[in-house]
Amino acid sequence: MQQLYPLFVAIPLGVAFLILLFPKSLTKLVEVIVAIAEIILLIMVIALIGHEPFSYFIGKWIPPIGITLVSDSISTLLLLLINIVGLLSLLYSFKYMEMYTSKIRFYSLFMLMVAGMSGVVITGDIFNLFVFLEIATISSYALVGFGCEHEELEASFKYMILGSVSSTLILLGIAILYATFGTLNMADLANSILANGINRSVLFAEGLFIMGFGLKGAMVPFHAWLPDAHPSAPAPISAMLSGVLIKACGIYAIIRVVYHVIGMTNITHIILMSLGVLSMVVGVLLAVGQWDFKRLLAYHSISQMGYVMVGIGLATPLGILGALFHLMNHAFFKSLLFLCSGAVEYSTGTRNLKEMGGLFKRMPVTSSSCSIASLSISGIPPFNGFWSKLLIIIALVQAEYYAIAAVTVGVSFLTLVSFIKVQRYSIFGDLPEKLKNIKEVPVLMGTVLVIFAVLCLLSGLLYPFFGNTLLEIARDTVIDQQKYIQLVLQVVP
Amino acid sequence: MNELLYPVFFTGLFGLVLFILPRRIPFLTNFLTIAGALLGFISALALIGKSGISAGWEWFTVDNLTFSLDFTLTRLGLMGLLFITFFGVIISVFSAGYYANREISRFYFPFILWTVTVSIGIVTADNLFLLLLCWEVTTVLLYYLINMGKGTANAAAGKSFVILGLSDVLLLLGIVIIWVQYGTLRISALTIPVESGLTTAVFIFFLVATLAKAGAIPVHSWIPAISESAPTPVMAFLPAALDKLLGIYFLGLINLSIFKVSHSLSMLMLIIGAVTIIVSVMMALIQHNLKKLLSFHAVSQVGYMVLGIGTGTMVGVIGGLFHMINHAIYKSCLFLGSAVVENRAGTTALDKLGGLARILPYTFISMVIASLAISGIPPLNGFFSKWLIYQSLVDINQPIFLVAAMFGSALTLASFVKVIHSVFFGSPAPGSEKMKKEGFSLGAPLVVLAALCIIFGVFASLPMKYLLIPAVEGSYPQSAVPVASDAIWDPTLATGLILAGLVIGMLIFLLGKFLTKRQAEVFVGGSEFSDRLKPVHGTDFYNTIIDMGGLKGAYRDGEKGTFDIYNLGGRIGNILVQSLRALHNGVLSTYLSWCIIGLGILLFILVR
Repeated sequence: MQQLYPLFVAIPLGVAFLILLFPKSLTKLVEVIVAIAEIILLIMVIALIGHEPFSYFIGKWIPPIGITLVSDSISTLLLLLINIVGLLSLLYSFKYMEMYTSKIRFYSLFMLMVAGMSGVVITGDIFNLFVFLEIATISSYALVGFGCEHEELEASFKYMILGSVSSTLILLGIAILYATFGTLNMADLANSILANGINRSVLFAEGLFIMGFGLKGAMVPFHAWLPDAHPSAPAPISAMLSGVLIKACGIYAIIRVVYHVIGMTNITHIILMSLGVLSMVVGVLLAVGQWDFKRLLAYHSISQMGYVMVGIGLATPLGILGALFHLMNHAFFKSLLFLCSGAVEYSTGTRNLKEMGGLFKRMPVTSSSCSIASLSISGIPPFNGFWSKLLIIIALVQAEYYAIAAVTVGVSFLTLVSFIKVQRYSIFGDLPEKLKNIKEVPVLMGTVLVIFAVLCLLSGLLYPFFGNTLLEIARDTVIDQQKYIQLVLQVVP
Repeated sequence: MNELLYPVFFTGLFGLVLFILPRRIPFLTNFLTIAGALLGFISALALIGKSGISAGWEWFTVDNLTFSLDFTLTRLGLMGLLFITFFGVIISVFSAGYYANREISRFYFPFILWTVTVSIGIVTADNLFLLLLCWEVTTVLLYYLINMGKGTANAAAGKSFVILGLSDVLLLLGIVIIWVQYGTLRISALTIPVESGLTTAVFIFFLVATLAKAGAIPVHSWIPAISESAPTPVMAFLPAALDKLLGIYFLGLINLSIFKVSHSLSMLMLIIGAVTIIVSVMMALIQHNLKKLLSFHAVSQVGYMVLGIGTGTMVGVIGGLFHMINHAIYKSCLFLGSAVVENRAGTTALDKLGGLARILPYTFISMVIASLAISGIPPLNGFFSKWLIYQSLVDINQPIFLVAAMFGSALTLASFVKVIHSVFFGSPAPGSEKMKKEGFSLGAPLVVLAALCIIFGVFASLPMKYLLIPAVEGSYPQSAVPVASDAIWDPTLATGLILAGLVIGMLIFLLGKFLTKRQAEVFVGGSEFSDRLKPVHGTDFYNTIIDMGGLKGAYRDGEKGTFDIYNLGGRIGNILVQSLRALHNGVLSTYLSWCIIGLGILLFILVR
């Protein structure tokens, strides 16, 4: 397995360029190829679960000289999410993307984005992380504007400007660290920072990283691109962006930098928690007032990432566990919600909740899945969102943050309110006259929705079976900076 | 498997089968529903006398937190269990008949059974975590059941989910705080004195959860909202019966076992109870729709239960719990009666009904009995439990609340006179001659419930002795038990006297028949009664109240829902949302400046 580790980037990257050579007439073949590539990747990740952590030295260059790839439980968790959501979104897009032209380019960009995200989560080199981050985000700029309509291009443009600002700042941060310590290897950097103490240049770089990655992860006040970008993208891409991109490029990068490279400090703890609470509250308040289905969902992504950030910032074992669990659950239910909104748009041609109604009668599969996802995100038992929110709230109360716990609970309630609104106007009620003849989505799309809905239920109920092997060891990895340094440098710091 | 889990198992399993099975053969669906509910009821009956048994296992452990599912059968829980499963049977039988000739979602029957399952979970839970799970699932199931109704059901269902959802998240927060502070969620192991600010907050969270479920002011407004559009059997099942049982069961639990309540919180409950009684009965008086009228009474009656339990005395708590059972019986009888009326007449608007007594005799008799019971007429069950509550209010020396309770009772009678008159007497509604009588599955549940109203009234000492006193005696010193027993009004003797009075009255009436009589034409104000004059309708009498000075404005606001917590919250929320939205003007430079300002603040904090 160790020898195959670079394939997580190599396969999607290779496929992305390879399929561009195919003519349009062979679209079906291309679909088979990308599906097989994704299935292989998924099988590889599943084989990686429970594997001992290891590092892979590219070209046998020993760190800190060469680029190191690191496999530990937190990267495995992210890889798993990327590939589950990736595979299912891909299957969904086979039918869905018939609304657009040049499907092959779409698949190419899609695979490029997967390659970028996989690279971000497996690399052990901070500049390399930046490169993969750019691969993932630049392909996502293109995908957001894929429809080439006025609105989509505008969203893509805004996303690109704000994204480039954040990328520049991240690069500046990397440059500062490199100038100070003369190394780019994250473990080596951590070692140097431990040895020299956290000085002002490190803190300055940390500020740049939190802002830069915070923008990719849509933390308020750096969130403004997301409510335009996520709704404009085709539904499977919205699912990828909200489901995994903001996590891999935002939350994951912050976890790595803050916990493993710089080390968690009290001031960082306060900053991350404030960002989290702010995102949670502002996101949900903006979501409640929306009538555009996808825009509403996009604001909820901000709010839900706030939950994750509160847990990460809390820095207690239970808090981090809750955050990682919520990160995983959010990948499932938010992807499902975006795919449902896509299915509704596919059948009815609208995203405006006011123009829908009574869809349960015509689209039972989509409506039931949407209902399940709504209950999951609102934190209603027995669905997954309930469990992870519960852990975060318990962690907050344990740390005696009663006020923040109350805010968290309140946000959960407002989430419920806004999804009651979604259900009231889309699923229930009377079918409008002009939607009398709509049909349920094709079987493949419906199957994807059902799989996600089942995941939403099982990832809550089956926690005893996977909690330990997937989440709790990922949490232990996050907390243990020493172990990470040891893993890469293979010396005792 | 532990026999304690049989009721949960049977109802859950049959629910699952029904959930998977497509509803092609109505007979099979009905059979399976009734069979599941009956098995649940029988296995609950088999548990009588076995209180104290428990079952449970640890589900999973996260760090040092153990999520476990502990079931135990307390005497209070047994009482809840028996009535929950009993209502499950009643509603399954009734629904089979009610939906024989109308459309309903195929998920209706499994959701009804699952509601029974999770409700059993609540009353047999020995673990607040398990209780919370079941509590929230009842809310979700209620939401979907309401959505199966017609018309504006989606809006009403949304409103009820919002109000109940708010109370559910508060309950969750309270439970988490208890968990962290006391290290256990075992209900039998908790006795928390309400002293500090934190414990008071937790108690209030729990109180809001119970009041919202049961439907007391100010978290009541979902019940009137769903009354007209939700399927009527669902109204009879959940807001009228099960939600009351669950809410008041949990209210009893937090007062008797989980918390030691302080005096000021008792007063709070008494005030909530009294306000609930008066305000909602006033609203009920002016309603023109049978179901909406009943729903306001469903709120009003909760006031009595809260009053009883709020007193904290043994008599009061017994009265509150007994009233909960009695209310479930007569209110679900009334709602089922209105469902029969709706099924046959096609409407529940009081102005369009009339003269149905002949056509629907069983419904008529059952509804009259239930109406008398809810109005607290002796010797029916409602009088008995109200009497206990009055006594407890006298005991704790709170005459104001006593007056409020009795005044509410009088107004209840006034509004049910209107109901009975408008629906069953007066000139027959058009089309009523073609209506069919109620069949077995519609009639039998009504008659059973009405019979229970009489039995629990006349022979009230039986449920007192075997269900209620055992349920609460553990929480009180032994010396309180005989005091409570003394408080019992002896209904059997009184019934004999009342019957004797009726017989004498009948004799006088018969004697009068033999005397000479004069027959005259009907006349109004001296002039002869002609067809030009419209028949006088029951509801019109009550318009006087709306026009009464001082009440007019209050009624207008009440009808508009100005004080409704749902609307108030919505308005405040909207202001917040709109001001935030105004900030998002879509201009890139605004967004960029946020980023730069944010970065500036970050760097300032970090590098200072």
